[in-house]
Amino acid sequence: MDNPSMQDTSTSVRRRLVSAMSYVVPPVLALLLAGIVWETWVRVSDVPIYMVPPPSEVLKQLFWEFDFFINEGSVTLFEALVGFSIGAGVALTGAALMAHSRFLERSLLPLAILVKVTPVVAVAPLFVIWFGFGPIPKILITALITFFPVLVNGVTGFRSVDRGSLDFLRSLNASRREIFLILRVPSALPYLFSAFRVSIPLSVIGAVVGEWFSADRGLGSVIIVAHSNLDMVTLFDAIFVLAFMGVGLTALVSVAERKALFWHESSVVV
Amino acid sequence: MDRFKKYLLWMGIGLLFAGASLGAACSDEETTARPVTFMAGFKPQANLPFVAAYVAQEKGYFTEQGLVVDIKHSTGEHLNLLMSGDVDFTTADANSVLKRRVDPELPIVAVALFGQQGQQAFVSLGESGIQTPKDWEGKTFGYKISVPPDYLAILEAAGVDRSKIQEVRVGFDPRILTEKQVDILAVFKSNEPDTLRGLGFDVTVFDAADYGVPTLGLTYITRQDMVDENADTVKRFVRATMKGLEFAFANTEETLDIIMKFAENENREHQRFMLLTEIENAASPLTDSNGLGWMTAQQWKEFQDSLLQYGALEGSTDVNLAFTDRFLEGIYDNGKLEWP
Amino acid sequence: MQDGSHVRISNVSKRFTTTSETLLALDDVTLDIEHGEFVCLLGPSGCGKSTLLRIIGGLTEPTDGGVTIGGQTPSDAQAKKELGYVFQDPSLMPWRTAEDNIRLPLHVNRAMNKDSAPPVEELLTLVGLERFGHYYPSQLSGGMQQRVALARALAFGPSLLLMDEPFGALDEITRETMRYELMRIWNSDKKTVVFVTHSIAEAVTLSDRVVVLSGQPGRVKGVVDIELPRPRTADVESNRSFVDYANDLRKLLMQEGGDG
Repeated sequence: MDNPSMQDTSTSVRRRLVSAMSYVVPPVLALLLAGIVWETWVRVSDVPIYMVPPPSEVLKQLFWEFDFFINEGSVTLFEALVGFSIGAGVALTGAALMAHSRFLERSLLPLAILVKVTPVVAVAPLFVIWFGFGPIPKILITALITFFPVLVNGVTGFRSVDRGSLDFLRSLNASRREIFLILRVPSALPYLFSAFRVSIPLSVIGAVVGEWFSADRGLGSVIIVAHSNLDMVTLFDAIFVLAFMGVGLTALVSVAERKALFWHESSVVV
Repeated sequence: MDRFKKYLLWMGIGLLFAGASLGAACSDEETTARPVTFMAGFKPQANLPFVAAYVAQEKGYFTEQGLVVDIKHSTGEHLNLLMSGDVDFTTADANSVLKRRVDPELPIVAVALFGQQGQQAFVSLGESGIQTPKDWEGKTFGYKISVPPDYLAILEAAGVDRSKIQEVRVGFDPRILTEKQVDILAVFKSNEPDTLRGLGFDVTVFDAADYGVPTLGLTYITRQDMVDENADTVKRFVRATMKGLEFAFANTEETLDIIMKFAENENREHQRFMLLTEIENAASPLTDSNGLGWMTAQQWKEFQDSLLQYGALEGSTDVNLAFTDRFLEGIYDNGKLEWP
Repeated sequence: MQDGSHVRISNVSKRFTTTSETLLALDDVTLDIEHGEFVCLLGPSGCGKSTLLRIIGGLTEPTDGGVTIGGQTPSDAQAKKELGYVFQDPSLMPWRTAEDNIRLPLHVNRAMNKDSAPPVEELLTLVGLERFGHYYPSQLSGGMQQRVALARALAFGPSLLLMDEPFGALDEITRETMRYELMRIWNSDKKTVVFVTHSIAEAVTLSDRVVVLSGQPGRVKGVVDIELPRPRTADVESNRSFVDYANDLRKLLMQEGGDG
């Protein structure tokens, strides 16, 4: 039997390697170029280190203090991921309920919008006053930030089912629960992944903002302290690590998305 | 072709002319009004260095000195903006000046001293039963931005074990104390104690001075290059603001009126408390003889030494570089302000 | 086997009301369909034949009149998984393989699963897709997808098949092939089928009886019995009667009002 996936494996592996490289190499080159320009400019214009640090200093400290940044980074990462899970979890539940009830949608969606438009920086200090210095305020802020995109996309996704498939299931007298699990959930996945790709970097931002208002640990805290000490090198180090975190998480989501959505027109089918 | 060449010629002349007049306009002519930016280190309120500038603005002292001053307020970036040149004068605590000169070696200079005694204090709720620094052990201490040197000094002076205190960074909302998320809070003597009492709480105030730790308060700071290259402007600024300070000492109500213009949303009575508390600490036998804003090398040296002794500073700097009294010398004659 | 008709359509009318107007889609349609009969509903677009099919299948409610299937309402028949549907769009779930799509009806409303339901491998072979069970719908041609849809409709052993222009989206050649494939498949079980089409040739090839419906509103214009020998294979079209039946149907369609 001729299975299309059982081709010559060696060339396919090489092809995939080349393809992966074509994604990685251009941005790396661009970054290197930008770094060189930045370094040159700082050295030529003799800018003091407490205004703009040269990338060489930034990278040097990052290397020597790697443990420190990893430790602080994992605190922020933890808050971001837990917050995201809670925000997405609540949003998915809400979306599932709203998809089945117009009444619920009409009563709850305005509340959700209210949550979304409330500026996080106004609410964050209150969270600290109410919930203390632990991870809870940061997790809450992160959950609030990541909640809305998942909710909105969830409602749309759960409703965007193929009419024919819906009729087919109804003709079998499928229950609402069966229809939800068998049809609505897979149909919603493209929308949900789209929302996740937006929410995941937001979750990192949420954790950092939360840390600005109270924390001794985490990269947000590092940033605040570095800023007040005019320690630009550490500030940039923290920013680099955060950026890396954001990119890494988004890439993970994209990989998961490609695996889960192999059937969707948004991905490439072998 | 001919027309084109003529056009180029006139363009060239025009550009030359524009360049020349631009250059002329940019020259450091001190006789014309010079634009200066002052950034207060916090939101508009009755901190004395802010008040001096508000009064100098409203009473026209700046104008009389030929200065056009843009008064701004900081949301945390005033030091950065001073360094980048966007701001010419700002405020800073004296211990901040010493600390920053060591790390990261900022070229900042204090030109006038408002707090002959510092405003840094620590409060706890009366109901908490905390009565001495020793009681701080086993409790939570909240500070803003960074651990205050006065705190470290008190711990040393009172023999408190720092490792037994949980230190957390907090924001500017004093409710963090009333909600008991912290037991001791770092505050400004002139500010939060009054606010907290206004909320109906009884508070205990700990002052470093009570523990034999000398403190200096707020100063005006500027960049070294301003002192070196724009000395005249600095002198005018100090003269006008010291006049404003004099006025504030003598005219509480009118000064409050001025303050309320800048701090529209604040409570007048709270601003009064702030103003009067800081005025108390701005005068001393030193200023009585030499003039308001006065400071000496000895003051700074003693201050730095005690900070070092109590482990509150990481390194020392030459105090004569950290402050200068030449502008004060230049505006006072025998303790009297020369005006205009 | 039950006495009497399998499907009884009695005075069914359907009105659609919008804010501005009322559309009469079906007007007093009465029809009886016997067990094991293959009936085609033939008519131009918009004559309500799809609506009628949906009413039979319980997906839409009639405004007047009613339908019974084996003496029960369409809802009850649905509840007992007696109805198999094949639409013009195969509506396979793209995230499931062909096999999983075929198995799907058995995962739903499990209480009503019959022991007599044929195993998936058998169904795949029946529809000619025995090597394609692991394929995803996107890897299958339109015709193959419809075969899967057909297998899916048979997977739970329904007694009544409702087919709404299932080959309408396919090219001419595939359409004809599928027609005869359907006949081969149906021949092994001879379920009751109600088949909607606007192709005269298709109606004659497939049915025992053709019900001709008029355009708006949908009314039964006439019924033609097709007495061609079964099983119907590709050479049925060279049968003399084939052309006659086709002409009869054409005449009926052209009659009265002549809507295209």
